[in-house]
Amino acid sequence: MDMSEKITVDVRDVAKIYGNQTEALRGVSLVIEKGEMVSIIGQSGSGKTTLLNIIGGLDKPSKGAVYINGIDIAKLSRNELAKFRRENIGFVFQQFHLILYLTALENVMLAQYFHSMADEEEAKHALEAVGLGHRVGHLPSQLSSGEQQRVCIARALINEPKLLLADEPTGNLDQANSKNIMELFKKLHQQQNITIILVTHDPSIAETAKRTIKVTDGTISQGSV
Amino acid sequence: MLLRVTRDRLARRKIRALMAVVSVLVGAMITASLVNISIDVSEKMTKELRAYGANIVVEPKTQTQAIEIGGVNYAPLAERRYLDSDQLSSIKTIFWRNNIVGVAPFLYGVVEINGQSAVLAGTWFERRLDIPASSVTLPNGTVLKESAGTFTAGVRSIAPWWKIQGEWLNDSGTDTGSGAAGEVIVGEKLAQVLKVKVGDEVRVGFEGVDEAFKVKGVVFTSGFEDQQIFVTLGEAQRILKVSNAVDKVLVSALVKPDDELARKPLEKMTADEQVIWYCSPYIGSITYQIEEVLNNTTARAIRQISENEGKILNQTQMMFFLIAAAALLASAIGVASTMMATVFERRLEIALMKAIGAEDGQISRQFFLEALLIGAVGGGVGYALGNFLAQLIGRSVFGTEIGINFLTLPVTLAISMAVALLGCLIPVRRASSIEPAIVLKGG
Repeated sequence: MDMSEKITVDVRDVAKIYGNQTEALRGVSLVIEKGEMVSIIGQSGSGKTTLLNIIGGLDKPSKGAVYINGIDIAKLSRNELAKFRRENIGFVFQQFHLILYLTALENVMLAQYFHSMADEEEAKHALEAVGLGHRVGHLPSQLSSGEQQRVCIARALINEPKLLLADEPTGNLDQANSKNIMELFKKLHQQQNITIILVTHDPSIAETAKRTIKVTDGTISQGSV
Repeated sequence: MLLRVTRDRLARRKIRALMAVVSVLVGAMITASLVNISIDVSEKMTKELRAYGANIVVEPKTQTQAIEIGGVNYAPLAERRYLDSDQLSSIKTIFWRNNIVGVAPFLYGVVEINGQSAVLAGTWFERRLDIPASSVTLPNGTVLKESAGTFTAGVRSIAPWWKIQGEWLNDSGTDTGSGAAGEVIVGEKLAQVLKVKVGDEVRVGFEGVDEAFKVKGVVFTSGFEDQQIFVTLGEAQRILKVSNAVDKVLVSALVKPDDELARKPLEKMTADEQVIWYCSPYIGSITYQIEEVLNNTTARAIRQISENEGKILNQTQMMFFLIAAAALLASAIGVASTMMATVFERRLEIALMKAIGAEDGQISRQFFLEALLIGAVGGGVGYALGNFLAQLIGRSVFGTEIGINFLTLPVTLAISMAVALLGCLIPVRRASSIEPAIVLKGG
């Protein structure tokens, strides 16, 4: 197998400078192979979320290149990036970001709709896979935090992404729910061999991944790149 | 899915959706009412304007210049030519017969009233005419047939502002128009000069004959008629010894303002244009048609009145257009401000949608669909309320019902939806510029 086919994420000397000259990332390089589960750990403001956003195509680097499955996403237009995200990447957010007036099922179907076509049965199966088969018709306000995060995971996985990006996925959960969510990530990783990048400030959560990368002041300070 | 999301979102933001609907509704209501009125207005306003008097005068064709003072022909009786009063009903047989709303003949003579010279005017007051069955031949040879009918003619329909103290002379239902024998109406100024009032008797002398007449009323016209004495047309013909004679006929016709075609000389028109001109209620085509049915007559427009009517109609329609445009602009601004607030409220949701792969077009479509729904609901309700408003305006301004034109429904809906779409253009642009990374991070 060609080496490039094994690599999912290839970040090359990426820097991100915001308008007020704040340097969020300073020459970060990183390679993540297909099927890897990697955690990025760092203090608040260290640049780990910025790195995740750039890998996910939500933000553009000020310098450097980001190859996802061989495509330099820094060169894509806004709409090309949107298409790239829906076809390749699933996002899990700390605040869940569910649409409050849509049911759990509709929140999952929305991702299908933007990808291709909403399929209710498929969306139900995705919710069953995260243990929410009995809560499909509930609004987010009727679900616990742990359940909301499960809906978020089902939404992230519905379009079978190649890369799952989770930004502090347990940040708003209690210990028991955090453990359950991480178990779910492990299970999905094993079953679907999906590449997962977890951003967290919690070392115990970071330990779930086989590889941990530490970001400090916009640079990688620890862990293999 | 898009419909479901839009529906759920609108249901959740009822107040905001309602505000946007009301914005569109107000514009649609004003537009629908003004469009309805505008369609109906030409006829209604023209009828109203007709209350300001006749707009056509019909006179005998003559070689000599008439010596006319105060509307009265002072040429010697021997040189005067007359219209035949028996033929006047044929005015109501022309192609635009239904647009002839008033006809009043006049016969004048200078007589002695209580020893003083004064103008005697014979006319119809409120006389029923039998209109014969007739046919009209169009310039292209097409013949149109019309059945017989009746028509009430007289000064009371062409000069409704004349005020009477006492009673009008009654010539209704008479075959000869010679009812109210021995009765007169005296113009207000003449009554002052003669010192007569309702119920008094005056003596009318002409060529050696002297008769007593009873004053049935004193008329206030604010014109030269205030110095005249009125009898029925039949009585005037008897006194002045000119049977069936009429000096002139005033005609009140509903006309449309002159346009380019109306101003073109008839001989320079193509055959098709001639038919269109003939079949349009221009003042010129109506006078032409009157001359066709009344031999040896000249029918001419009282230009100032006709042109002013056209100007008033055009100005009114322009005013309606500007009011509707201003109302629609206000609606678009209302929708824009509501949508702008919605974009701000929904920025997190929009950022999320973009993060999970929505393109700008997919975000825009949600707003456009929302705008179309708001436009359709606002337009539909606005149309219904607009018809109601049109009725109110119709009753209070024109004193009549405004006809409901169902063709204005699709027009109102289309305009409302276009206004709502226009109103959401800037908000859509703002939504497209949302950066998901910044918003999702809480920026």
